[in-house]
Amino acid sequence: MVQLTLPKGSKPTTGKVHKAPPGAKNVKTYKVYRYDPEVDADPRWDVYEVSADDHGPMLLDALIHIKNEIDPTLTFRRSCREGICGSCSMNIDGRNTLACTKGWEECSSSTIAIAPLPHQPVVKDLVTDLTLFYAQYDSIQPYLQSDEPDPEKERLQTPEERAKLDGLYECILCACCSTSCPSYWWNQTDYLGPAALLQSYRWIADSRDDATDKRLDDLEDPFKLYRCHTIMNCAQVCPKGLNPAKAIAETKKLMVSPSRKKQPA
Amino acid sequence: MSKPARYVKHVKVSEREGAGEWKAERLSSLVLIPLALWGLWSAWALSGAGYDGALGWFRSPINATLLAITLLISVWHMNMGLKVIVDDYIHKPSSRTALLGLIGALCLLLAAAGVFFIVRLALGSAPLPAGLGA
Repeated sequence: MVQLTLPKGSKPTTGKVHKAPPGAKNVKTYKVYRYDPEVDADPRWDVYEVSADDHGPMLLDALIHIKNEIDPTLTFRRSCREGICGSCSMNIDGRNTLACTKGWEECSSSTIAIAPLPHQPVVKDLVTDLTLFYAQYDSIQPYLQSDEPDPEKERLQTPEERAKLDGLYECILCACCSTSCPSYWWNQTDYLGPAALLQSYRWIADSRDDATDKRLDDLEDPFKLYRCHTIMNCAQVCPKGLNPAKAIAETKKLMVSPSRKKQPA
Repeated sequence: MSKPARYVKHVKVSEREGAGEWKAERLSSLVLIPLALWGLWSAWALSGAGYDGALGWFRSPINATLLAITLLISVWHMNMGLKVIVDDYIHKPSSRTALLGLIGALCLLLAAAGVFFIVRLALGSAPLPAGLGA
């Protein structure tokens, strides 16, 4: 059955409070999830009071400021700081997003909670173990499979064919969508999740790819594909503004399309 | 002969089925829209008609056939819907199989009992055979 309460060792306790220095102006309060499974029995919420005047406009700027100036033990992933690498995905103010593209001014709460991506094993603090997520991406064979021999130059597409990849190719695999999906929370070992399914559809929709029927066969499964119940959290949180639920719906339509040639198992 | 692996590199191997059920869920929903409206309208039209009026309604072959079709599609649709809930939330394979079997049996019983009563009423008999109940 679904667990309605957090298991032992998962309930965050109250942690340290790092007060702002006296006289600090424009102070924002951040409640940050802290957990080192090798040392801590339970996770905890540490509170950091930070003057927004001391750092840049984004949540990632606040986190880097906290790590550099207040608490070097805080652990998080980051790389490009411009929303293209997908490293700093985390749950900010109750919603999965990228810390580098989320401005602290956008958060409505007086205390901004920052937690790791939900329902993933925590490696440390805000860093989660995405091994399964990447294995799911790997399983959809995210590369061009063409029956045509390699051409001298690039494989051509019409502008219309190319336009079908818009809204798909931009995915940066940050895992915000999959880890916001309740179906993925309950069945992530069997359900591929919105990110892998959107990526799969990116190749299904590609006019240069000839493996469409094989890709559909590999997806047709009550759990791998059909656990999507159009809850739409994926589309709501995607920091790139993509709509994985629509890609999944298109895949489901192709599954029952008369043009599909199903291969025997 | 050994069973094929259920997982390869942590990812489930496709069962290559599910599209048919997905289509059946949607088609049954579509068919149920007019049938449910017809059922509601009939119930509303029968209000105040009394016991004999209701029995008379059942004796029409069109009414009885449509009602039996509505019932069978409803139960089939309900069975598929309950299966979705069980698949979502029950993770232990043995519990899942047992629960799906139980739900399937209950749906079958419901469909059989419903059709039985509709047929009896359509043939002008009392809902229950003589000697059973009132």
